[in-house]
Amino acid sequence: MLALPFITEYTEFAGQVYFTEAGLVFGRCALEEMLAYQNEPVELGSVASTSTASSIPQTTLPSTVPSLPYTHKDIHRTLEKIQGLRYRESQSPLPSVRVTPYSSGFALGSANWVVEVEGQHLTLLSNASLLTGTHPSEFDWQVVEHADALVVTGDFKDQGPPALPLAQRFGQIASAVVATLKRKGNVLLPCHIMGPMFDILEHIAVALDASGLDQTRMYAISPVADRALLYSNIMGEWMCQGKQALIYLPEAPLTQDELISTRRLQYHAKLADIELKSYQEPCVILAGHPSLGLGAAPLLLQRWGESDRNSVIVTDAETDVYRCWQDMKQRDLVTQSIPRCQVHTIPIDTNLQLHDLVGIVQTTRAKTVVVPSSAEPYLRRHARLGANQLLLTHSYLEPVEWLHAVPQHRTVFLAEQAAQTAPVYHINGKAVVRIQGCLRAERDGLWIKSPPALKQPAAKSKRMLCGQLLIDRLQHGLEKGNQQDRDLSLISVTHPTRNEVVFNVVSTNRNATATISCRNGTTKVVCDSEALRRTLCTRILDTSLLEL
Amino acid sequence: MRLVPLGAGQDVGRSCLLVTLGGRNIMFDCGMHMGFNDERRFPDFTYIAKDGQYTDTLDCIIISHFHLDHCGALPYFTEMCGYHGPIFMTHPTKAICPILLEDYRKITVERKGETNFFTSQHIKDCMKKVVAMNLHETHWLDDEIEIRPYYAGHVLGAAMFYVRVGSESIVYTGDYNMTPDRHLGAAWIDKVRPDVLVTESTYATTIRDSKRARERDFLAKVYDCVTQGGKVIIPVFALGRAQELCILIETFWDRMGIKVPVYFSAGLTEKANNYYKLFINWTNQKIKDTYVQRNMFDFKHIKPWDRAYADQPGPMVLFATPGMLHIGTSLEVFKKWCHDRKNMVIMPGYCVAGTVGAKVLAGQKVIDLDNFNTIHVNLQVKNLSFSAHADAKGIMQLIRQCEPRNVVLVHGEKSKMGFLKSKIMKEFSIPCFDPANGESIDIETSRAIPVQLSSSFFRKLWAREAKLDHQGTLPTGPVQDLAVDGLVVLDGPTGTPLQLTDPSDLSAMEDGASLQPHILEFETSRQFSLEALLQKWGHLAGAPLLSQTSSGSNDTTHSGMVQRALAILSSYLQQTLTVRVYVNPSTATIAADTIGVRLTGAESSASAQLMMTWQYEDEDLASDILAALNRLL
Repeated sequence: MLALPFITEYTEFAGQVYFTEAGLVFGRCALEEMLAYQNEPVELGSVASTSTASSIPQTTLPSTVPSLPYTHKDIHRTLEKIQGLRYRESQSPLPSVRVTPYSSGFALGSANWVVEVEGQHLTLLSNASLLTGTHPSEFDWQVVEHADALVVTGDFKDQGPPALPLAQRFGQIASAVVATLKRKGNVLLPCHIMGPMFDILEHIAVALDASGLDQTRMYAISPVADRALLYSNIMGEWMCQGKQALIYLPEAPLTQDELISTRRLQYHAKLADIELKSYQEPCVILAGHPSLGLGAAPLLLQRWGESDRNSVIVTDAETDVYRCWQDMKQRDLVTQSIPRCQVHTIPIDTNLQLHDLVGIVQTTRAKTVVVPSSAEPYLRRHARLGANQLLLTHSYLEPVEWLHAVPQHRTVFLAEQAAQTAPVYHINGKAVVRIQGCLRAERDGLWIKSPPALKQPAAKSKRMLCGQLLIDRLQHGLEKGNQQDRDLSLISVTHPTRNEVVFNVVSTNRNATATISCRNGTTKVVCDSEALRRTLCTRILDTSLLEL
Repeated sequence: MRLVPLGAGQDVGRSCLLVTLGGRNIMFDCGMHMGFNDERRFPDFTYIAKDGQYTDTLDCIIISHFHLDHCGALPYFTEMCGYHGPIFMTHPTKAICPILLEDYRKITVERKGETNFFTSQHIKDCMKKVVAMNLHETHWLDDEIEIRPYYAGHVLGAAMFYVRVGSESIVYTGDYNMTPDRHLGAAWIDKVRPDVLVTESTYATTIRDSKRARERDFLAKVYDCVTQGGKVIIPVFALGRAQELCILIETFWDRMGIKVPVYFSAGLTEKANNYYKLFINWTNQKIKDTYVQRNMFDFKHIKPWDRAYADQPGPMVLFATPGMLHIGTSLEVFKKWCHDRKNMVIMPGYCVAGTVGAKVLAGQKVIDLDNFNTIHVNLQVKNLSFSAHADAKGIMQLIRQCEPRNVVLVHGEKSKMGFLKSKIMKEFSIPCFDPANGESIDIETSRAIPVQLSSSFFRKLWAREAKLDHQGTLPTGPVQDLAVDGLVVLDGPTGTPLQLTDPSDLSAMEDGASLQPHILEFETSRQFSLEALLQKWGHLAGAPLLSQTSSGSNDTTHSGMVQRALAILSSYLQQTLTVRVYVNPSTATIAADTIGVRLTGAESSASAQLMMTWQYEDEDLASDILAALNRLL
């Protein structure tokens, strides 16, 4: 979503944008948070003091995140253009196209999308999670099961055997927090105050209660901490079954609600906003940015990093605490060459892994599966593809093309009115109805309706002929003496090829000749006299053809 | 489509509507009647299936909102009558309705001592069968029944339901409110054009003044009463109107700095407010937006009620449950306060006939509570229509919004319904019904016949349309009025779906030989004199072609004359025919629709030849062209 304000405000894109309602709330938070970090870079004082910072030249850490090419206003304008949907709510940007979001299990409001065109279901799978034991609503398998084509995006790495189960990793974090607090140390958790952090908070709170540390203060520091923490608790419908059951009681689905009301968890936009009288160490601070390059996190690392009692718990595998420290060391912001605090790296990545993808590819009945090229080798090795399943890959900026399998038939509703006015013919004991009308897409599918009254005169129905021309009967009818029109006489009958018969006819009174050539399914009459042509035409129709 | 109200037909209470659409049976709402204590309080379910095999007959139950007259019979039906099919309702309804059911059960069983009533366990078991839905979410029940809820206002989680089976569709509104209030938004629905709209009609004949004026009126009355030292009792139900009025009083007290205590009875309050907090997404935008700064449902001025307060002197305001004064705290306190003229009762909702509330509203001064107790009503009685039902204007507005083909009125009084019915029929010229309980009505829907259309035929239709437009590529837009011409063979093998077939595919069918299309072509030629044509009809040649030929009208070269002749022919044909005429100068051809006329063999200016070919299907057009050419040549 980070690129969206740029796309809607600085490119020619003018189409409809859809997102889930819950996703919009957190999307807004994420965008505003990034922009706030960018516009107010962290100012780190030097080693000795944060209190006398003014006397020492201030420096900022180089950001690892590229700067965003838009403003706060742009974000608001973008968000106003987005239409919020709920899971399984369909919208039609065009009458023949339908888009529907389904729960992807990754975060509150995260979605996989199904695009329906002409009855074909195209599934777009991006960040998703099959894990249980997190707060968002479960992955909706319908997108996989009912897909005709499945496109998977994302970045996949073959990491070998799966790491520890998620619950154990949450447990590790919680016990690291407890251990630190027990030795009177502080804990820094560089993170966004949303997504998996809600689960981590819950695990920490439970562990603190169990260890008699329930008086410990926790602080969430982010420009959007208030909204992220409070809004998430009114989104019970977007959560997993277990959390949903809580709102029926009625209880807040996430623990943070209780933590906030008992003031164990406090949230502030900036570190400086923490009121001195309510601040009490040892404590746990959750602060952005996960990369340790932005927000309040680097300041805390600087402040706490030199004591071996404190801990930093990193949940983003990409973040390297030592490198950040080196950075600070080079600018003389810290004295020691390596941080003395304890550094825990416990990656929490709930996103789809390659082995999840194998399960998905084997479950889907999609004829075409498009995956990132990084995932292909693993899938080819581990997934049993169906006989008529096609596995394609895509990589950056590369268009993917495939023939989408068109269904053999589609159901069309024939409106009563159109059916009533249709003529019925009885041919060989069978009733045949000729349906003429207009095919149009309505809300509930394709309909054939009577043509609108306005069009009636123009759309004069054309005649249709069917049946087989019986040559013998025609010849008999044309031969002189066997007809009312004695003027007509058959001159010659030739067989230029095996399947072709040509009659030459003359009408003495009208002083005209005609040629009738008959082949399979086609009869051609060449005649310059209109009167003779009409006579012949009637004769041919009388002989064997049927006019609808 | 067949509809039978089992309750709320020409009546308010025990809403229950049985609908058969597309061959499937669906029950909307399963309510109880407040006015009865015998078997009449529940809908007559035996109508559905005499043998009690309800699950076989009914495909699903849909509950519109948590009011007992819409869900009160649900545990009875599922646990005691044995229906165990699917039940649908929104998340807040699923959360709140068991609370009200339990409350109702307690009053009936524990206070009135009734037996053979559903138990707490029944309620719990019943709720386990419920599938909770989100607004606008489309739920497919077995690939055929499509269910989608829309926001209905009225109370938290109230929804209108759109249901479609095959080509038949219905919208059931439950109770709804077309004007937003302090805590809920207005009902809204897509232009779904259902075959039938079933709407409540509680306020069928009322057009209410603006909400703002009513609010001012309410606050003024409360304020006047308490400043004169009176006590105000406002009977409400724990959920719904109560929250709206609390917000109103809370903000007014805040603004005016009033110190008079405000109480809320019922142990439910705390819990009720919690539901509102957790389901803030179902309230209105304003409450949602200000939620981070201040939760509207955390009341500062409104305190929990204690029985002892009733006898304390001095002014106070009390919200007491239930809303119809028929039982509980509201009746208890009302009995204590009703003798004093200084006090006031404000009835903000609708009261079912027979309840004390209804009698008070009717202006009775002496009310018999039961055979032994009588109360004398002296206090001021005010009625403020705060119930969140659509008024006549709102109902008309909803009809305009969703454009139904038929309207069915339920949940209203018979006499009022008649008035609204005639108004609807007059204004929208659509049929409108108001069936009584147990009276079934059959509504003709435009029946549609599903036929199978093969992809190749579909593509052909597209291509044909594209050709008519004289465009090279197939259009990519939506299907809009593609001309279809195909055959459906009836009497096929039973059980197979009907096929709409391209006539040219028929030969492939078994026994299709007699239907194989036959092409009958004609070719006719005509000699004529170029010079004579140009002389006689030269004035017609002013048409488009002249600008294309360099030579102008005096060109006497052969090709120049041919081009001028083409111009004459085409402009004359264009004047005569209704179809578009095209000229191709390089092949000396004129095309009208599918018919081509070619000018050939004119080596000398004296004699040229026109050759025309066409197929029998274009016979009519061909005759027109031939007639036109006859006049020309």
